[in-house]
Amino acid sequence: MDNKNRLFQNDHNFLLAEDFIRWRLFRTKESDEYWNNFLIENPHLEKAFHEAIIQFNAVKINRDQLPDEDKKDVYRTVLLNIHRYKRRRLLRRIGSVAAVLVIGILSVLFFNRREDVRSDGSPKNEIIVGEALPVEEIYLIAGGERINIAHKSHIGLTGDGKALVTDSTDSRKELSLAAAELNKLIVPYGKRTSLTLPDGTEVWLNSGTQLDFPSKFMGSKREISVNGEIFINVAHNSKVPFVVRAHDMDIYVQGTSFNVSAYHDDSRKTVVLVKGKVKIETTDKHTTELLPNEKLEVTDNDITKESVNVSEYISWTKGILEFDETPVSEILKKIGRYYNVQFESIPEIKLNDKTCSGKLFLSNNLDSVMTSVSVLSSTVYQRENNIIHITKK
Amino acid sequence: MVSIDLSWRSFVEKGDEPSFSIIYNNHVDDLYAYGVSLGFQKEICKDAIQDIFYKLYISRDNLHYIKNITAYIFKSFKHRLIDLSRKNIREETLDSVTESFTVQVTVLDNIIDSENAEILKKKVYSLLNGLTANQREVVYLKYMIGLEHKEIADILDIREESARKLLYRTMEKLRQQVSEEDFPEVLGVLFLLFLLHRFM
Repeated sequence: MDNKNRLFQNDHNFLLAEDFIRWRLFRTKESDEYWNNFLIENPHLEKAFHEAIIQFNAVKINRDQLPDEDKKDVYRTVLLNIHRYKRRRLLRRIGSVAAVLVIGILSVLFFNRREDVRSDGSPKNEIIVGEALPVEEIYLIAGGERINIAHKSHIGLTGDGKALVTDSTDSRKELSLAAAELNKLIVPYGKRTSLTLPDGTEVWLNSGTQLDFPSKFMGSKREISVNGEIFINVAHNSKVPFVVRAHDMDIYVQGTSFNVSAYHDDSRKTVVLVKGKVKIETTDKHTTELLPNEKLEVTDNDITKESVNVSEYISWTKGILEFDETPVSEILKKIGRYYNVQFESIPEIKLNDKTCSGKLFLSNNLDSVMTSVSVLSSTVYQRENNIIHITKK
Repeated sequence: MVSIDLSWRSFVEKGDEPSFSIIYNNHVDDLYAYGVSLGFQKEICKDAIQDIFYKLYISRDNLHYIKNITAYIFKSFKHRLIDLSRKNIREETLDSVTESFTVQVTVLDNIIDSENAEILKKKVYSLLNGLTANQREVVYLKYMIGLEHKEIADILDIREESARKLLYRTMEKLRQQVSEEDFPEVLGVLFLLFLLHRFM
């Protein structure tokens, strides 16, 4: 290298020196030092050297530019989307403010009316009303037959077209499944169950869920469909990928654990990943990958991804409901599904927006759960037969 | 890039549009050029730029910790390009897509006279074309964008150790090319210049 430099010494054409070019394109500590020493040894070349550096800066790589028109377009769209995002957030806040105003007016009217109509003397200051609905059973539709399944049972598929049902008292029953078509497991509100598929995949089904699954997995894919909420622990098989179809999203996995909440009557659907990696494809062909502790939320016009504390979302499998700054309306919706209680959802009721944080042990007794909820939300819970009243303390 | 740091600081604190537009304008051309070099079409590059700046704005509260916003933007951009391109490819592979990196060399000729500019341009071009796509990408990110080794490794999605090896190899390759190829050609050019000098 030194020899070449001697050649250029008398001719201040550093720009023709390959090693100079190399250095300017890709500087390192060593080469910086080398050229520094070179300058020290050749002070008479300093001016030419620095000039060459300035001149080399004229070298540019990949100077493609977006036309101004496009640049402005993109920027305008970015601002527009930001504006829309801000507006959505603002509207949510305005919503609750409006609710307070409406309550103010409503309660004034209400009180005035009550002054006049003091009928049966029973205190009618209830705000949220719920109704415990008749008990329904879990059932499995397999090959045209309808089979009842006990609450909190476990169904284990054996892979040869049969299933073993174990209920909470440990008594067992063997069932025959559909030969060709899909089996349908229907878990009504108020019930939960779990299932093991022939490949070892475990599925926990929450209340109000329907799961369609084959008696055995054949072909190049393992596929199930869900309407409702499941927590699934997919058995690893890199040769046969697993797909969960949930209304307007498809979730592709190899082996992993995640929670899907996709109730058809809920405009918000979520996927929360505990372990592994999944790829989610929504109806507009948009694909998103999720990493552990990430949640994907899909609404009618939005797909968002965020990092979350997964235990909040999967605690139901252990019979615990965890919530963090969750509005009462959300809590009641979940409890409603879990215990088959229908709560009135009147958006004007301010009590619905009150947020609570905590853990609820979902016992078999609706009353004890509702009492806990009332403690956490500072409300009063009353029940008369099947009608529930929740009032502000 | 000092003004960018100031704009970034200001943007993170206040989320004001002027700072945001400064950051945008300072990066949009380089991002576009980068996307094109990676082999992506204009429309995908535009979409990716749009998406990452939107995301940058709405998630700025989580980005206080970022010191070099340029590195972050480039990384987001590359990832977004890959995500967007996967929408169109119906494949199940989750691996990285790009294995190309094209270069176009220009020499601003109001600083060097056009004759020397041409020579220089050809030299730089041949040097770069002797490298692998990854090595070219590294040179681009270092020379044009001014990123550091660690940041480049992050964008190429390789571990710092692998990045160090890649960068070392790039250096070595450039060094090798000097000793192998153009020596006689360089001499020839030099002689020519010498002659020109004599006659001027």
